[in-house]
Amino acid sequence: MKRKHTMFIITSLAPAAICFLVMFAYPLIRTFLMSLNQMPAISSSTADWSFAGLGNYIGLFKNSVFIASLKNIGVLWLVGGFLTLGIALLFAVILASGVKGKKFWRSAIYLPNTISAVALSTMWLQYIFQNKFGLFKQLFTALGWTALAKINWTAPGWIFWAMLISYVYGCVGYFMLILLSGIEGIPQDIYESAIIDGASAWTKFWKITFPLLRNVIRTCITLWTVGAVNFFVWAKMFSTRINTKTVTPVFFLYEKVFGAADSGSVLDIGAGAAVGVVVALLVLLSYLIMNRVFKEEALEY
Amino acid sequence: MKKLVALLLAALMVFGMAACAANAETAADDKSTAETPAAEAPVAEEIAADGDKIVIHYWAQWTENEAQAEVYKDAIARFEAANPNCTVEVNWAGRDVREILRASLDSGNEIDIVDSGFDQIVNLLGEEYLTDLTPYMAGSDFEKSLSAGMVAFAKSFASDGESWYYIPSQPFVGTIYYNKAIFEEAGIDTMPTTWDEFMDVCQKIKDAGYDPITVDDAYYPCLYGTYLAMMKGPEWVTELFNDTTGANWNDPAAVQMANDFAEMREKGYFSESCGSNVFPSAQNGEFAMGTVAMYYNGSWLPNEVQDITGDDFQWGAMFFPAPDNAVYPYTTYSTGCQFFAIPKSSQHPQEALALLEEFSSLQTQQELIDKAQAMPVVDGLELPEKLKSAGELQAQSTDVIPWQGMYGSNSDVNAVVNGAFAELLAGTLDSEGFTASVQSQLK
Repeated sequence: MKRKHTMFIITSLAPAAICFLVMFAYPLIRTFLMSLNQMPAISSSTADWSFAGLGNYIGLFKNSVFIASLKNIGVLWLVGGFLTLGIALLFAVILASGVKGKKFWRSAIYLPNTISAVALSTMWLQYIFQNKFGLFKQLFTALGWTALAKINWTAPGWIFWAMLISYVYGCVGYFMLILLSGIEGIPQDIYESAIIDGASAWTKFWKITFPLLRNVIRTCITLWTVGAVNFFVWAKMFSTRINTKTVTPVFFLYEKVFGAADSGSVLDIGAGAAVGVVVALLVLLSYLIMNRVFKEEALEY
Repeated sequence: MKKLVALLLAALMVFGMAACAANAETAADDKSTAETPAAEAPVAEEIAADGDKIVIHYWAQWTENEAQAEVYKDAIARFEAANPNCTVEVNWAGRDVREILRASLDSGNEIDIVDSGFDQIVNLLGEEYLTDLTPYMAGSDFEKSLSAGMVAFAKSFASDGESWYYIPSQPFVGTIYYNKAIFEEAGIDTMPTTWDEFMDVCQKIKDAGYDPITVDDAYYPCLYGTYLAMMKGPEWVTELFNDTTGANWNDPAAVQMANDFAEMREKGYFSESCGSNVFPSAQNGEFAMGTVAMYYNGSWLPNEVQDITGDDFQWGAMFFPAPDNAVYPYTTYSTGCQFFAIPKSSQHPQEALALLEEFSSLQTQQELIDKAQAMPVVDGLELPEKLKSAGELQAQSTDVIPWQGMYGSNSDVNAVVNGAFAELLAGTLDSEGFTASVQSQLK
């Protein structure tokens, strides 16, 4: 009977285990091994590899472009994260407060997530940020905000911030939905008793909503971190050619492994693999820090 | 050096083009030959005699809705009709096919024809992966049908400079396109040959109320790379863009390049949005809209912007003006080409080559000209109005350099130079600041 039970467990787990080993474990291990070697192509057999030790990693951290890419995602994570999660939380709280037309506003705010990043970034680049007839130019001019109207959003000094603003716009709706579902999971009677006790909206938010959303916020920060560390499509759209203003680690990896579209760039697969490992470690590190800062608590309502 | 010599030979293509552009009667005669079915080609005849059904797998760099794909579909239909025992399966993979070609071949995918830019095919696959087609090509009608310039260009990338590993599919001319109407309005009737004359032309255009020149971020290397190649040759530029120490950026040629572009920016010769144009802002929103007079690009440009320019746009193509102390004359243009190739793993190289022969036939090439505004790989065809200016430029040329003035580059150097060049164009860095910025980031 016990043996039959064991067989059932093995059979049930086998598909998932095989998928994990083939789809995750093997690429992960191979990428790590590649990061310690040099090879002519991503698909080269191990016979064509030459051992480089930690050379690829040392090279990366001496590389000013890779360092610039880390700085860029650091700012993106911090400033973009603060803006995205802050605005998403604000919208979620407003929608959960019983505002009229909740369904409409929820759909409207989420709408950008239904559009592909390529289309969305093109809209921002070629229309909203356009420095002659763009939406920002016209809007700020009409409002008389000349300083803002004069900003050339895609100029070297501004393009990173332009990219960040448009990315935040594309992400707010997604995080708002997660936070909204978290807020709606908080029992109304807690709020009702707080109202009876004379609590203001501000007090309700800080004393009830925010503490009880702790686990949801932790999930949101983790998701935001994964997105920021793996930031690629928007960076590629905001700079047709790699440059230090908008480069990110994954953009850097892409250029090392696949090269630029029309310049026959010299490839460096080992360095690309090393970037992949560093990116994975950054995600792991952020997860560990999140666990330490936001310890998971079993909340019972 | 061998590549350079061969590239110079590519200028021979000029004569073919010149003939096509200038002599409509000859072209009309040749069109009749264009209707000759591919079945009459010797290679195809051999295939037709074979009894087994052969599947040719073609991985295209075109997506299915592009004009090139439409033309190739017709060519494939003709080929299949003429060779009933052959069928062609196409993977319309698009430009990003380059990312997967080598891995796909390594993992055993059946691919009989690959298709990508010359630099991608040569650098990512090269002779290690590709069939030497010399036994089939040497002395064949197919070889004879290709223009001499194309033959020289394709062979120049072989290690011995003679073998057939690469079949040219769509050449292009790199040129400064200009709006003839603006030039006429500004009273410019002579094309600038020197940098000083170019500055005079820019001033006249500015005085006429237009922005003289613009550029998108995608084409920064066309400006700095072409300038530097004119100064010191493509080999030197290739070395410069692969040197991660940045040591040579204070070479007089590099300093002069930064000075000249900084001066153009200071004098207002670049459009105000230069340095902030993310492709295709400048191309579509400035040059094609007729607010800017000049834009460096490849001969695909008229096709790419035809929905914006309409048929009234007066296309002109001019040489890159020779900077002071340049080793190349102003009659130099840059070029590149799409390549077909047949992997070593192909089970049917002969049949695949026969299909490529159909792709290069006069009929297919004429259709590519008409529908995709593409430059042909064969002589004797008439170029449409929009391509004539590029064809005429080729006809007048004496020297050729590779597209962007280099054979390959390091992505770290690209990232640093592109970032600093954007600042130079935007005016947030002067020429000294440009050099200092590049060197400090690359050291």
